[in-house]
Amino acid sequence: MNGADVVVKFMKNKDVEYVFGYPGGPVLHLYDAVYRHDLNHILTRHEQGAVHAAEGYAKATGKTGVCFATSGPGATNLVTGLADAMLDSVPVMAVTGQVATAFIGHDAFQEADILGITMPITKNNYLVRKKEMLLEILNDAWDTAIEGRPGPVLVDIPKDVLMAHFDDDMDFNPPKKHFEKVKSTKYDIADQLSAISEALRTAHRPMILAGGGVTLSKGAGQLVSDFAKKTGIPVGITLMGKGALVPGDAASLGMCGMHGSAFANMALSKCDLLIAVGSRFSDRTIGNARSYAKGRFIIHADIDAAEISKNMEVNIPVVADAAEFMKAMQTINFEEKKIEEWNAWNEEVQVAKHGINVSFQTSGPLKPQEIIQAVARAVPDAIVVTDVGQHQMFAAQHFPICKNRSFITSGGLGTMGFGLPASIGTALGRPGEDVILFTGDGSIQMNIQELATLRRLSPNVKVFLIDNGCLGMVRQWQQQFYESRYSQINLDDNPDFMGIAKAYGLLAFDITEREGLDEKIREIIDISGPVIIHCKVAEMENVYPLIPPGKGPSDMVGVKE
Amino acid sequence: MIHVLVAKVASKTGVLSRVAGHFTRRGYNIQNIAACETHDPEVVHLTISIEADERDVELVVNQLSRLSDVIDAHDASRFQAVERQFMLIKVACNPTQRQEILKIADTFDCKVVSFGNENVIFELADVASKLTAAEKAFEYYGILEMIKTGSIIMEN
Repeated sequence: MNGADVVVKFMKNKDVEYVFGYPGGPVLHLYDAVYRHDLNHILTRHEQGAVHAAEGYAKATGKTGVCFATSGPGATNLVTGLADAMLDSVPVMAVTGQVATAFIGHDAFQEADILGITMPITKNNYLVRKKEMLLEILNDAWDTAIEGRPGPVLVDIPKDVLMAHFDDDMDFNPPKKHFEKVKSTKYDIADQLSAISEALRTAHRPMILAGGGVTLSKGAGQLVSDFAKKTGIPVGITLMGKGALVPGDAASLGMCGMHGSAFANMALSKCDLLIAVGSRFSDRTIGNARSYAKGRFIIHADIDAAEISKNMEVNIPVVADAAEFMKAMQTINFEEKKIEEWNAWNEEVQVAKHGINVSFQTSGPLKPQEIIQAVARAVPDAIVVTDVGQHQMFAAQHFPICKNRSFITSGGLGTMGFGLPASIGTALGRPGEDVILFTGDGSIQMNIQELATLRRLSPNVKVFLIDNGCLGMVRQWQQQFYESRYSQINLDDNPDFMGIAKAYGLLAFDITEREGLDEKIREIIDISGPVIIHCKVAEMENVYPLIPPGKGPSDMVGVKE
Repeated sequence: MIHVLVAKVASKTGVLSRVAGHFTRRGYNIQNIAACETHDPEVVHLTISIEADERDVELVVNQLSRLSDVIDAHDASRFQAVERQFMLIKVACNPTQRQEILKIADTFDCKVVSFGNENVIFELADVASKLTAAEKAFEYYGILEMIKTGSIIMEN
């Protein structure tokens, strides 16, 4: 057996269902092992497609997504996806080929220092310098990707290590050799609980903000929901928290942040105590952290100690997994009177939910929001995957997600081109479920080659291409913050997307009219396998509400009373 | 304010670049870094001096601790610790000044490591302030070259 066999057998031992990747020179041995061991490998048409597909798979299943790439350009093509996975805490394991050990540092053909390049965008990365290190590194990388706050890892394997001889009867689970890190017990929930209950007892308008951590931690969403029900404390979610709470949940206010719902942001600005769980107070969620914190009591629970006081100085920090934190919160008992007060505050917020709304004109050209709402009516329990831009925010606003891990989006890095490959990974990870991809005419062209992968695998993905003939989000900002000086956003000479779909051998439909929209969408959803739905929509539609950058939740624009 | 951080890290290739990158990415300038062997051949002891606000130090330490190869990291000012720096200093010295300069060296417990006709090289291991004081004293004669290792710290 050689090093490549070790890698492939390792993946099989870890029950890896799919590996996404692209072959090349230094990984010829690896791909030979893929062939000989019949590893379930998905050939994408670009390494970026492979890493985003692995992300989609990981986001949708909670399992580690695996991708292979060759050295040099193959490895550097993974960079955007790794950075994306780092910011959204996605467990991804990338295995890259490297030139032979003797050539490293000699600027050999297709050599790139991928270890150096990906150091800041991986949780950890490794170069296997000696064959003796291979299995230890694979095991360490695998554990690192999934432990604590998940994230991407990269293992760079030189060609000679992939070719080296290994004993056939080697132990694939060697004892852990890596160091036990010294665990800090600072900000343990046990030490902070009495302070938390004390703070809550004096709070009049408390609120919970549930972030991505609540979707990642098993059972955390239900625990948040139970706690909210028991106490009457309203809950807002972040973009990454979408799916943590089911939309019918009375406590749920929906999404907070730059394009969050008006009432969720109103609550966020009115609350006197905020309990943030599994959120890093991103600038897109909270705006100006310093002014937000003023005159407000903030409790922050996060699994990652490095998030404590990174973006927000808080009153009570807790280092804990979201479910563990919420379990501890359940043990606090509150006076009846307090619960009544909180329920009244909740009601006040919920009333606002009906009073304030953001409407859009359903006249003139078709609006992107109409498409999204119609799809949500047709397949309410779908897994929604998005690309990045206006359509992403419209999907977040108008598609209520009713299952956990079912809103697959590039939240932190905001990677255009994420959607199509991610939807393929999602569909493979969750067979039998409806997968809806909302993408834009800008985004889809950033990884349009993956239509070939979609065609070959034919998973049940419905691609709604929301085409406004421009880079909509950039256009909106230029309109609002640059006095309508539209710079480099025009895409009015887009290719014929129907023709493109046809060329890739995919079934495609055009949607241009409001009339019969629901029926048409239902018909399309009923078709099994992939379909491209080209939706020509209004060019000038804006995403509202909007909290201008650097402002706070009380500075919303585009809200009608 | 200058903060001294200590970290125990796994002795792996690239670990220093990982740690250094951690600081540069967040806009901190490393004033001093000393990477030292320890009693355990698989562990390297780092002493890192950076200029940072009080509020940033905890964040920097937490983020440093997050790196896989960092076994333990903390702000040394929170603990009772002994600190030492090592200095080599080349002082201009003609034969007529020898006695005078050697007397000063003696006051600071400097050891002579090289003796030439135009200069003398001393070594000194002590706390940072003592090194600075010795440096000041030699300035009068002319410092031709000086290098310091940066602090290394051991908790009591």
